[in-house]
Amino acid sequence: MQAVETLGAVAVLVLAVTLMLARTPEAAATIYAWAVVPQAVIAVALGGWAGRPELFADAALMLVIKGLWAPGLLRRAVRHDGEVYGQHAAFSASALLLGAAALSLLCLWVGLAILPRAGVALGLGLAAMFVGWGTAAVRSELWAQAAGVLMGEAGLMTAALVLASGLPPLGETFALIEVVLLATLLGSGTRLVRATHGSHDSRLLRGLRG
Amino acid sequence: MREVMAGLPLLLPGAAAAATLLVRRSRAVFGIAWGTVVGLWLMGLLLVVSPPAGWDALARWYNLMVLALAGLSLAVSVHVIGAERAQGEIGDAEVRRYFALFEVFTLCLLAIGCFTNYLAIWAAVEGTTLSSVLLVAFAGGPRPAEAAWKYLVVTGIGGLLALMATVLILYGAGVPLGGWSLAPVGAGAISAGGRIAVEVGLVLAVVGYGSKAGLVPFHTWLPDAHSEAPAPVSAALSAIKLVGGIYALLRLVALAGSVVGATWPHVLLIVTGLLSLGIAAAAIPGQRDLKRMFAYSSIEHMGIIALGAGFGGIGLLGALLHMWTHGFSKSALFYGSGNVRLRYAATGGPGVRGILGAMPLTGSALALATVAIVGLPPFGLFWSEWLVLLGGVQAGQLIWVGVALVFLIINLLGFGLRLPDLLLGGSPRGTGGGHAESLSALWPLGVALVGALVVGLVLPGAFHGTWVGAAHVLTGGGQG
Repeated sequence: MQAVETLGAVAVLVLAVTLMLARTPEAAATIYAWAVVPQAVIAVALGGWAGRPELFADAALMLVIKGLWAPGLLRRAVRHDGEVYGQHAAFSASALLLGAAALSLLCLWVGLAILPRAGVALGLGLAAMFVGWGTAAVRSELWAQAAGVLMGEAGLMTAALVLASGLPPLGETFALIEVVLLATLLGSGTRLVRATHGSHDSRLLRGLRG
Repeated sequence: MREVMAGLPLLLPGAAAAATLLVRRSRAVFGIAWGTVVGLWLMGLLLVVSPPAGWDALARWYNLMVLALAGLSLAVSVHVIGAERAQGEIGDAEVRRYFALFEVFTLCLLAIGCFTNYLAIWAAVEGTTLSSVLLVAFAGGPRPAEAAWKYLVVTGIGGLLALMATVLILYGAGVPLGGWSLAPVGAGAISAGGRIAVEVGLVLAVVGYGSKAGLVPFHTWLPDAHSEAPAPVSAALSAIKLVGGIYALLRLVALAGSVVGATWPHVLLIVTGLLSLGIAAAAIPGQRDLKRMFAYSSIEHMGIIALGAGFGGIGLLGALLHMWTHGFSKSALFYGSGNVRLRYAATGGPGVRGILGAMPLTGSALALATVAIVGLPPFGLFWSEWLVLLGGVQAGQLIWVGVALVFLIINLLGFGLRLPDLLLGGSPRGTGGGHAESLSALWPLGVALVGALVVGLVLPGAFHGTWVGAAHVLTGGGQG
């Protein structure tokens, strides 16, 4: 069980770091979609290990809603807008990687302190969460920020799955509804800002400063 | 009967939202909204007479406030959105969308206080954010779009952090994630890992739920969202939604405190409260827009609530009272700013001056509400702030009480620096409108002002048991 959790968390973290460097919205959506797979695998393994069949249904819903529907929504929000994308981050790629590594080490330490049984997986899940949100903070493209927020949720759910040995159906239901609403609003918001400001570059969002 | 009543408050706004989506004409939408206002207030009265069995004192304290203030903001919405509809600025579809979203928003606000499961409370808090994002963007155009985006991203991340915090604290405290009880668990035999989980969870909770409450460091969305939203939405965001975030935070802090002791949670709350007060003190004197000034003031007052909760004792009682006194005072200010916007088509900038001359009643109400919000007597905020500071003195935190006092005085001077020019300066260059001083614009303002005056004096006596019981719940004393 521990090996599945650790490998799954490693995969989510690697994908979160990759997202930080993604150059196109299509790539960002695809990377996020792949990050859902390890979560589903962990849920299935926990379901078998703990004898909780509801986690199988949860894994299936995760794949459909978070793995297929939400990334599709992100892709549609930026499709055919004619904007040329590059990477606009507040820091260089090496600085971002260094930051992610430091964050991961800190989270590993916390994870191991909290949960000796599966501390590595917990720590890496937490690290993926912060790296995802770090992407939302340092990247200026709206689609990268949207994908970063959702990637942070992927890391969070990985950590929560490991910590609680599978969330109760209530928690999973709320989390899935949250992703549905969040992805819908992030997609709509991306389109809205693009329509009002003519670009996906959040550096243009300066009208309210001062 | 009383158990059924615990869920009743959720049925009303839920049914209203569904009915709003089904009808086509604005007149019917306004009728549903009025029905909801009356229903919310009647329910409030009913709950005073016969509190539902499932609610503890803190839930009663919070839900009564939501029923009173959400009803008032919905009533103001009928006036503000009605005026925009009458002027042809928006159509039937926009009216329908606004009220359906507002009613869902009200539903989620009430759900925070009705639920007795930590994950369900988190979901309700998230619901308030997700339903209000589109209300912030309601006016359309670049500025509301920018405000809504920042609101969504910052509080979206904050909300997810709050979820992680909830899972960590419940795991550490040994509370089942699916359990329906908010009762404290007691120290018991907590493992070393469990203690670290609770302590890390506390930090994440203060940051995560703090973002919902407009506390530093995730407060950056608040001035933009509050200034760009329609006035009744700004009022509801500031007076109720921020308090909903604080309510959820204090619930988790109480649970964590019952496991790891109160010291660490209290230090976190005091530091966050003081930082929020400091940020507001730095920003308020520089504001030239009424709504942005009021928004920064909300950061200040959420800081005061956090500070009072951190001081504990009488300070906690003050923090609980502050939820009500701030709610009424800030509602009055935002309703007034809504009238100003209808008259001047703006709430700041060179064209907005001499409000008192152009709109004597609204201007006077704004002046009085400003006296209330800066914490001067005889308004309720004076008493609640007094209790918070007294709590600090009783707890021996004299240095932090001194720092808080300095920030409060700076905020008072900031209002004193800006408001006279807006209220008295120059001759008005308004664009007309004719709606600004109508009775429908003024009565909610009057109700909010009366509330700002009397709740600080009446509530502690009339609802003494609920007030003290709510504090008892937060200090680990059970259901209150």
